[in-house]
Amino acid sequence: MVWWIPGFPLIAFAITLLVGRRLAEPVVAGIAVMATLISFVLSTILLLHPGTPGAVTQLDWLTVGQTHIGFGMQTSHLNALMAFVVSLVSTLVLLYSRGYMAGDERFSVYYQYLNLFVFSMLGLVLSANLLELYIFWEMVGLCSYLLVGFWFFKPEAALAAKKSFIVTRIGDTGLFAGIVLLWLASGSFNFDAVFQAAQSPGFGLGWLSGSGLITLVAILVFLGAVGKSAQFPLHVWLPDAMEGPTPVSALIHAATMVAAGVYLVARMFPLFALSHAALTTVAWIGGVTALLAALIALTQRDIKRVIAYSTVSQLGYMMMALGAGAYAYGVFHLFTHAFFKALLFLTAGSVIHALGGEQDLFKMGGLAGKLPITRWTFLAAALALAGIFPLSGFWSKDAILTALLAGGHGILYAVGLITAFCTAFYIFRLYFLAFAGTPRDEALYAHAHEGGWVMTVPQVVLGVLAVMAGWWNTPIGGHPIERYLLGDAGTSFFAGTSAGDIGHVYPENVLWMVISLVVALAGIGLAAWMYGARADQRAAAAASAAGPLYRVSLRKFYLDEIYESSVVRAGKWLARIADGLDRFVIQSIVYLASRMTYAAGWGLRLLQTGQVQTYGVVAALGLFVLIAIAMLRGGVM
Amino acid sequence: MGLVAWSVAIPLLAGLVTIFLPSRACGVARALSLVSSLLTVVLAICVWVLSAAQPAGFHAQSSLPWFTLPNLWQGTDLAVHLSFGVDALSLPIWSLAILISAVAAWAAATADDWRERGKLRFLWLDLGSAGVIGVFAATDLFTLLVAVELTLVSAFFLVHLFSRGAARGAALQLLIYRGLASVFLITAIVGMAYGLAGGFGDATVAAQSGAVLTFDIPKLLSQHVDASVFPAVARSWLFLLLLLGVFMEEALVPLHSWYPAVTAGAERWVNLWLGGIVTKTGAYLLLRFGAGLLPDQVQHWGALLGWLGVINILYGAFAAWGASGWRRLVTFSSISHMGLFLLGVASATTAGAQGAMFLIISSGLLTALLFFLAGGVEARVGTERFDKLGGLSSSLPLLSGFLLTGALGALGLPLTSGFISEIQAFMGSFRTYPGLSFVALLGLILSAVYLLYAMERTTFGRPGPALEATQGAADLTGAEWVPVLILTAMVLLVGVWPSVLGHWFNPAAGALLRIGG
Amino acid sequence: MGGTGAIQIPTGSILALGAILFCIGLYGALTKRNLIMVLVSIELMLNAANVNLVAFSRLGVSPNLNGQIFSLFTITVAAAEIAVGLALLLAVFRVRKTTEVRDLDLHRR
Repeated sequence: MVWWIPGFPLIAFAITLLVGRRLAEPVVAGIAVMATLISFVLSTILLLHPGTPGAVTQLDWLTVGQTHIGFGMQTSHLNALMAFVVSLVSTLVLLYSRGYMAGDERFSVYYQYLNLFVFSMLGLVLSANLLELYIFWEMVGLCSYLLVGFWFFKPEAALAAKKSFIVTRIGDTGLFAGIVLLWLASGSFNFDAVFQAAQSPGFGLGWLSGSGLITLVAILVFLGAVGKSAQFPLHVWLPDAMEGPTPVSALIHAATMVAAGVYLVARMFPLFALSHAALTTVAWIGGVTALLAALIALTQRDIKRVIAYSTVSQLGYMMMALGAGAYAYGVFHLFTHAFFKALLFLTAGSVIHALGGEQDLFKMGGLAGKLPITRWTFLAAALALAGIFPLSGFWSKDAILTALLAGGHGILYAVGLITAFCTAFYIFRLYFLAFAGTPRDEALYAHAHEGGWVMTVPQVVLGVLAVMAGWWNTPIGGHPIERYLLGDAGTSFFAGTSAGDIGHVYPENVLWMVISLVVALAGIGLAAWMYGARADQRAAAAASAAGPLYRVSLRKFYLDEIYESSVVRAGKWLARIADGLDRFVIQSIVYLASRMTYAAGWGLRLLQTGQVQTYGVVAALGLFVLIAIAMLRGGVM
Repeated sequence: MGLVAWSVAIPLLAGLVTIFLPSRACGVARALSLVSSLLTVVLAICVWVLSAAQPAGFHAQSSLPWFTLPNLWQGTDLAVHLSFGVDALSLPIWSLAILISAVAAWAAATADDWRERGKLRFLWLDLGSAGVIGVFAATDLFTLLVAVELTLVSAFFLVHLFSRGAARGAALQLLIYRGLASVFLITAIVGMAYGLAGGFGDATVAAQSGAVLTFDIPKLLSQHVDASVFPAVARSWLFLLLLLGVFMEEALVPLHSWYPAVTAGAERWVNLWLGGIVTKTGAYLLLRFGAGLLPDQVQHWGALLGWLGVINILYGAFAAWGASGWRRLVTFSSISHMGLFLLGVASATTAGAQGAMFLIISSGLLTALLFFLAGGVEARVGTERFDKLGGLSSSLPLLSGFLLTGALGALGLPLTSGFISEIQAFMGSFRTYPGLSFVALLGLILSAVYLLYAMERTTFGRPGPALEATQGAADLTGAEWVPVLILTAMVLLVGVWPSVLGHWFNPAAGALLRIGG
Repeated sequence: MGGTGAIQIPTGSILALGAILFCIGLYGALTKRNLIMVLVSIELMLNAANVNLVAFSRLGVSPNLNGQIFSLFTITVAAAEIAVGLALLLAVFRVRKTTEVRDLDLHRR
């Protein structure tokens, strides 16, 4: 059965690839949504009956040397949960796209790419070994590239697509090296074999062994996650990727693909757990990312970019949780975040759709009356993101903050709190600018209208989930998700681990809960004060008061400029040097060689006088010399 | 005669018949060429199916006594045969030669201007195909020599006749480089045969062990000779000589300059044929004779090979990034791939060797596909330069789509042949040379950079200045579908189901490095 | 064969004659400017060889007729050679209006 979970989207992809151009829009969308819906039903069954965690069904794929590499599907609690989230959000986004992309010239191509993406993403979370995971890892990257560049005629989209692929490729190369080194050290790509080898005392290669190797490999693997999950310093691609259609941003760049990095670290958690240095790296990278992205999000003007930086920031949160050893909390936050962040993008898409493509926040305003469903669902998602009791984000975020403080990461806890404050502020800044107050652009406002049912139904479903998904892990229910996820411990999925190894859990602390709630409310209050009904002057005053700090945030800490002027420029210079070297130096050497041959011939030509008698003299002299030699040596040669 | 021998004989016969055709009858020449290509493809499929059960050893062998040379040194006659056959190493590459030659024949026959110098076009393509197929099919050194020279001469004439601009000089460069290369290669290989028979060592020990001078390749491969018969110094020099020949034949940095010079001007089917298979002969000879006869030297010179490999990867990648047009980019991308091939061989591991073999096939397919598609762009838009292209996706969506597929294969995206080749090469090289391998990984990033840069400039964005002329141009034509579909299907087949090659290359890699891991 | 009662000329003298003849011929062939003179000098060299052949056929280690027969052949061939040579010379003269050896350096150009 598990094969069919990615199987149906693959079939849908094949159909749309072969005959999609000739089918009508509703048929194309219908096929895609139905296939994904079946996958969702199957995933739900899998979630409820996951069987033995770590069970694998696979085919022989390739033999390299003595190593047999398989290609198959592995089930476990973690994988089932991921498949559930991915297929659920995919179904809703595919339905929503029917309305958002209606009338696009390449409608069927869009669905073709999305089907391929859903297939790859489901394959990724069900992969049976590291090599297969890497294959799907790159496939989702390809889909992201294609979809970001979907409107290829826009130069910004073309550049953003290229940037997203290349920047994630840098991280992927680290993952590639990590996988190869793990194979060399353990002789297998299978997760259980890798984990068991890493725990054995003889783990090593000739030049590095033991904990040093584990740390190196874990950091290389994490590099892949840094690229895919847009962590500092490779986060720069994600905001640019907003050039793609908004449903794509919701699905790929918020809920699923960018969470793949978090999934990767969770999947490899037994390896990370063996290296304190690797875990610390994960936690700090996560912390820096969370704070940095939240600070940038404070000042952005583009509605999608604000949410994109919010995604980067929340992914940093998840990494912090994993780095602090709270495996279950990191995955739990991934779970809740997928719903409210996808919803934020879908509502933003609804706004953009209503305003005919306008994305500038300062041209919006007063949309609450025109777009009631969008307004209320957005509010639900915003409250969840800000972490307001009792919405989903509250539970997962608070669990992470608790784990940080209880786990002895005081500084990271402070980082988390500041981030939480910023998060509440920027998302409500967005809310007040877009929905509250009076319209700033009457022409746009006049045409604004809610999308059809295909667009509102997914919003409502996700809105319900954004409110309720967190209730699945409250103390009242006895933390079912924690127990579910930790059920993987000790099985062949997480070979050789116990529940304590793979994740710390902490009881709720009411005082800390109140603190984080107060911080979030303070952020919302500040946003209301600065951007509420009668407050435009306050925001401008604050911006000018902050001066350079405001500009640093607005210009995204100048990271793009720094990369452009260092790495990119150096690469271009090297390319130009190589090209010049080849065209001029090496070609000249070849030319020189041919010229020298020519010159030698020209020189030797001087000896050839053309005078028969001169030749005769030389021949005669040569003969005499030979005779003389023969006579002196007393014989012929 | 065995099936493999026929695969050489059929195009050779087609070529010989074409010689005697009048120049007007280029239609007959075209038909002959196409039919002979089709027949060889059928032969390849037959051999593939018949031999699949037992991949190891030589298949479909046949041998005709040709003449004898007096072996003054050992007093016996040295029989020279016209003999052919394929084993697990050569069978897939031989099939690639047949496939690429057939595709090139199709592309040459369906080009708009195929009547122009029609007789010479098919004559030299037939003879060249016979030559290059023969290189991989030969099981006798003398036969190999003849095949190498036939390939060289045909390639020279094809480039000379079917190039624009200054490329005639480039044909001469090709002739000089590859001519010298075959001198070095043949000297080195015959030297190895001589050395295995005890020519550089103790002749009496050699005589006791029964080593005799032979030109028979399977016999050579099965000879185990110790150091007193074949001293290490002689092995080293012969290996280096072979390597020099391989570098010139393969167009590896720094002896590559003929390759970009030729591809800058040749017609697209010539480029397809050259880049797809003719440049792969050196790689095959390095595996067959370098690693097959002197595995210890691969280990001994491993560091040198590894360094040269990394230099090729990075130099090729940067030069491709700096390229101003598709022809140059594909050329240097192919050089960069073959750098990774060297690194895989240098590792002297079965995984590395297997990756190197995969790379020959993968690079051949992708280079051929990209040259063909880039030629298609050039034929429609009138330029292949990035600064004049742009926005092709809107008017030529299919061509752009396949170009993207080819580029993604070349940058090593999983489920294309590029990825599976690269990871195997790295699985080998990380064991032996981890430091070098980390540097080589930069090539993976750079390949994404330059290929996506080219794609962005070609198919994405606003229509470039050269696109106005293309408004009336058709997307992929019926005749163009054939090469594009075949090559793309092969790239994807190898990527999705690599066992199709692994079935052969796994035992071949195991047999190749009789020592080492 | 050998006559009786005749004065025996020492072998060395005959060989010396041959050597002198040959050197004169060589000198002439290498220095004379006129093509006719060169041809004549070549004849001298050939005849020097003939003298040696005849001398050895009479006075060699194993005297026999071979030497004399060989010299007859040489004379015949030399005659033919002169005929061809003069014909060539005439042809050259017609084209180039000269028989000077120095001017015949077509290979150089």
